[in-house]
Amino acid sequence: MSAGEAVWEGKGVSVSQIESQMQRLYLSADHEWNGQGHRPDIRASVLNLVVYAPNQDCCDRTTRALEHLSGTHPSRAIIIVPGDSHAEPSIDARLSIHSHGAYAEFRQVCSEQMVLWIHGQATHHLASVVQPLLAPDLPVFVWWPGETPVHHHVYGQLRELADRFVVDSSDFAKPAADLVALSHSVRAAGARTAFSDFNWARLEPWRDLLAGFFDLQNMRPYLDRLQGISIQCARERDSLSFDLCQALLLAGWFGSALGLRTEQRDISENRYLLQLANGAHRLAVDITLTNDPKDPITIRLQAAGDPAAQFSLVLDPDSVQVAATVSLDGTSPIVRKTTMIDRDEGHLLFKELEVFGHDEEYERALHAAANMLDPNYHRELVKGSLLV
Amino acid sequence: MAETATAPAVNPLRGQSRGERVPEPCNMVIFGASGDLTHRKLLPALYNMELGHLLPPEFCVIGFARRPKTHQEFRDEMKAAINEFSRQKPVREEVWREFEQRMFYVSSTFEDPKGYQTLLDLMRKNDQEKGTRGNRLYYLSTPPSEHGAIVQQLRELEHPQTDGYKRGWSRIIVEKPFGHDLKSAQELNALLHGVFDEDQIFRIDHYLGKETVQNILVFRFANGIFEPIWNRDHVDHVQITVAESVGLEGRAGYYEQAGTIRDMVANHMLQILALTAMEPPSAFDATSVRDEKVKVLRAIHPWQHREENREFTVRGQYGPGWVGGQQLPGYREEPGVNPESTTDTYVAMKLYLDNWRWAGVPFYLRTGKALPKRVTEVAVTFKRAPFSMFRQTTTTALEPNVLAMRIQPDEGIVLKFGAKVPGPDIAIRSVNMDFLYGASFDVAVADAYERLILDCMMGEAQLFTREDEVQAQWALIDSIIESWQHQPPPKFPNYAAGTWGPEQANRFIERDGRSWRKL
Repeated sequence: MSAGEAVWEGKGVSVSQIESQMQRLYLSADHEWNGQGHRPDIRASVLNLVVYAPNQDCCDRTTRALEHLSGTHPSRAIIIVPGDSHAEPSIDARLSIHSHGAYAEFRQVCSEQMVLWIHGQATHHLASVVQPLLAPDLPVFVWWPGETPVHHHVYGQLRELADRFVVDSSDFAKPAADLVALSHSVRAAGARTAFSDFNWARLEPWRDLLAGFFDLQNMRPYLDRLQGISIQCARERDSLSFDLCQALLLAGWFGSALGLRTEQRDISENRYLLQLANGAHRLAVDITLTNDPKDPITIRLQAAGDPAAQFSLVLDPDSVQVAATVSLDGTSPIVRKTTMIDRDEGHLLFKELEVFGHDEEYERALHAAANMLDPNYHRELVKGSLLV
Repeated sequence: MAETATAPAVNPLRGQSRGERVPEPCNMVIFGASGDLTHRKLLPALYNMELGHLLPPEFCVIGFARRPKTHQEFRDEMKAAINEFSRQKPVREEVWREFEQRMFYVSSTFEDPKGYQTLLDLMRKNDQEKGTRGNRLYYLSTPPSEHGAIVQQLRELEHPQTDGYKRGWSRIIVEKPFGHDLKSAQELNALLHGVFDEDQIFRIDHYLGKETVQNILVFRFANGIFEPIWNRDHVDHVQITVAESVGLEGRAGYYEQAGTIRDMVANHMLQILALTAMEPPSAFDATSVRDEKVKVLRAIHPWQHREENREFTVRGQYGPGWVGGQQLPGYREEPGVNPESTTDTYVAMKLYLDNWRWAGVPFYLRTGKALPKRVTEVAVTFKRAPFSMFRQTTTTALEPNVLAMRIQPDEGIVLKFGAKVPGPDIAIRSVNMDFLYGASFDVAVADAYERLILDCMMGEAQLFTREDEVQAQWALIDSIIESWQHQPPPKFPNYAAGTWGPEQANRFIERDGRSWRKL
């Protein structure tokens, strides 16, 4: 199959000019590509993707992440880069369409990308620029890389547009406080907008390994008898290391899955000690931060029983292998090694674009984590979900 | 004895042409030639037709308006307008030099018989010298309040007491709004019929001149696959949206009296509804097509009770907001608007058609100003699959198929259907396949007025509205407005510029278990 790209750039353009220029791009692309007459064009699209890129570096980074998506997620991507709000109002634009080749007489246009540099007062009203440019009747994903969006002045507008709002809590400057704020915002959005976090996607292999400990029938009872979870993680994520947000989400995941309520909190700069309980079942969570992202990541679970059991995951960042160990008192430990793969943003975004509707497991974990962190946090959910 | 002028002899060489259809020459008289429409639409359209060799070389245009101008001043003014508003510009001098020689101007009030005598003399001179053959096309590009005076004077031109002058055809184009209610529309019709026959009257709705509106008919009736499912057995509902992103743009004088219901619903939207819902005509001629359209309009379920309006209509007025990165003042803050105005700038409604094809299928119409984007489309949503064999996807999770005919922008047709996501599981995702009509055929799309003026000159009236269509439209609108007058005054503004209308409009459709398409 042949592929091609057509590009247009303009300065000081209006929103209506952007739309009409996109149409002209199809025509000019047709001239460039076949020169043998005029073939009908089909545009296939499955979604809109809006990216808020606070600076040019972020814009370049997200553009690279999007490059791999055109074949799997034909879409219209709108990357907005806010400029100086005090400048004269203007929009500079770079439009491109990327097409996969021909079958029969038709060329399928697989993706469209608009990069918009917005200046002046319109930086406070970004939704008014984005909304007219959305491809109609398609779900809208908003990706907000970088620090938490919740306190940003345009967050509410973009959240209103979104069917799904994607963040990356590994970029949050204040992990605990920002997770709590995110949880409140997710609640406020209700059914209207679903949320995703790249960090939750990064946790998937960890959750898979942890859940795997209890898949066997003879191990399943230990889950109901878990007494302690200790997590050692890095303060800041570096490649495969495990950051605080991930640790908190993991704790929230355990809490929500096991139906445990937070009873005590002892939070200091480098340590989070939490007591969870539900009736007779009590679980101590201990999250310890290290300053060196190269320190091994460890997740240890202790469960009571006869014999007692210990489960652990240990990642040596240098070897990119996780050792999953099951130890029953009085027996030799069983160790299994799994290679961890560091997923780049393009891959993580791909996974999020596969999800339509709420990721309820993530939202429960988030709310549970927020509840663990904030003694004033209250949330009541319907039966079958987390109890606060 | 009145002078009897001699009509020019017929040219025997002007026979049938196999090329692009070219109408007979005529004098086209634009009443109100100093106005916005002439500058923005009519003269640019004529120029583009000239460029496309769609006008006969003898064609003449005469502007008729109050402001004193010479022929040359009018020509210069029109050249500037074309340079600003034409889809093809700048003006090509070699074309213009010839074209402007056939442009003239008559300065007169609309009531002054002397002005019409000047006009008549000019038209006859053109018949002799330019070859316009006695054919006349009158274009009323004036406020409706001027129609009466103009048509009265045209009576003398068209039916002179004493005159053996051999004339050709005469036609008159009347711009919308055609009246402002049923009574005024009937009065205007009566006025016109005092001078012209119905087949000489061309009531313009410029939407009908748009390629993609015409494409509705082609799409439906040139393809055999759609008609079998174009009915209540397969269609869940239809949405017709005409959204404007602009505000008032200085038209307070007209708009305060009209509102969206008269400006958009009474004509464009009901015409689009008619084209979408009509039965296939037996022939593509004006009578057959318009017969089917008027049947649709007459089949609209009437408002039996005033209370029904609460259930079937929502109206709104925009407040300040942001559209396309630009700040927009609220409607009441616009110059010339009453600060307490209750004029509607948004209307949503639900209609049913009482006929076999559509009984029970709701047609949702919405239109408004200061909405987030400019878009016009007709979307037919089909009923969901009755049963899902795909265990991971329930029937409610599957999105219904939608066929959307997008009239502007991004002219085209979109089909939404479910497709399997590549992978080991049966995961189904909706895909929109756009047939981008506007980008597909590398033919510059003519402005609607080019098509309509050409059709009128050819005597083809399929794309113009007939007397009974207009009356059926107004009868519906009158019943809605009458019902509004019996409701408490609306609390306006009730939506911010840059949003998709009042929240009430969302509830209005959501209580039927449906939602407005996200555009």
